Amino acid sequence: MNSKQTKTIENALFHALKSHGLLPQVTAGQEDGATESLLPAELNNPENFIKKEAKVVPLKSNRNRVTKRLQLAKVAMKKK
Amino acid sequence: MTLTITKSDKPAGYSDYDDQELFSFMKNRNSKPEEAKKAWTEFYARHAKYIWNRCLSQCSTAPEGDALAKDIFQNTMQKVYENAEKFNSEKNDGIKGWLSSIVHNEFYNYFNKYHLKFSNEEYPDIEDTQEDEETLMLEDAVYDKFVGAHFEALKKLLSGLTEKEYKVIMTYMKFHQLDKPGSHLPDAEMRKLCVELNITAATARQIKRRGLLKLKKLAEQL
Repeated sequence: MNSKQTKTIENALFHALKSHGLLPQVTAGQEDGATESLLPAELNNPENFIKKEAKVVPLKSNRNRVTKRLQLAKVAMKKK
Repeated sequence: MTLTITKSDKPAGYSDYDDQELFSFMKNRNSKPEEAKKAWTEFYARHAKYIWNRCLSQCSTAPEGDALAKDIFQNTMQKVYENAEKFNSEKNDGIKGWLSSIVHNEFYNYFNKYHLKFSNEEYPDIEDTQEDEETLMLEDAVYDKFVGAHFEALKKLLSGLTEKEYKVIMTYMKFHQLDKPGSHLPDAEMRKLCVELNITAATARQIKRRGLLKLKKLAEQL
């Protein structure tokens, strides 16, 4: 195949998504992680994952909510 | 398959049970929480390191990759425990395949939810009079820039799409074949997409083309 023909926007997008691990998967991937690293100590407690409310590190998605809650609590304290 | 395991069959340490058996204990987390907890501890000891390394690898190019990997790890672990009954060794390409796909989906959802601010431009000012393949070709330099785009640059490019364009293009990307750019989606997938977006197949193809042209235009400005 002519190499020029492969330089389409679709192929470029495919490669870019793949390199950032963002390519949607049809079936489960099974690649082993290229990086090898020890599990951080704060994550090394299986019991923390049994109950949803017991998080070791606040999730990014929850951080704003947590901050908001703290702000509201502070306002409530001041009112008292 | 229904597994019947009695306590006398196996030692209490759970290390002799295989993954499928551990899942069957976890499945009963509400009725037998202690057994489920022990099974989960064993499962964790076996697979936590693999999952952690998948998370690190998956998040390696994202900003604050290490912190993000911790978030993804936690979400994955909760999903595994809560969805123990959904694991099917044959269907899920083995335990590593299943775990790997949960990590990937968590990352992908995170990216879609927190990184993309979609454009509202439904009908961009793009000239598309030629319906030929040439229109979607990139200059060598633009192609190389696009392929080598950093996470932030790629995020910016994708954010230039509307939500609908993104959805359509990413569905096509799932089935993309490098040697056959422009090939059609499998029928079942196209039907699913059309129902989800309430559009016809012809519209889906048009949305895809518009989105790609928009990406091309944005890529030329990289």
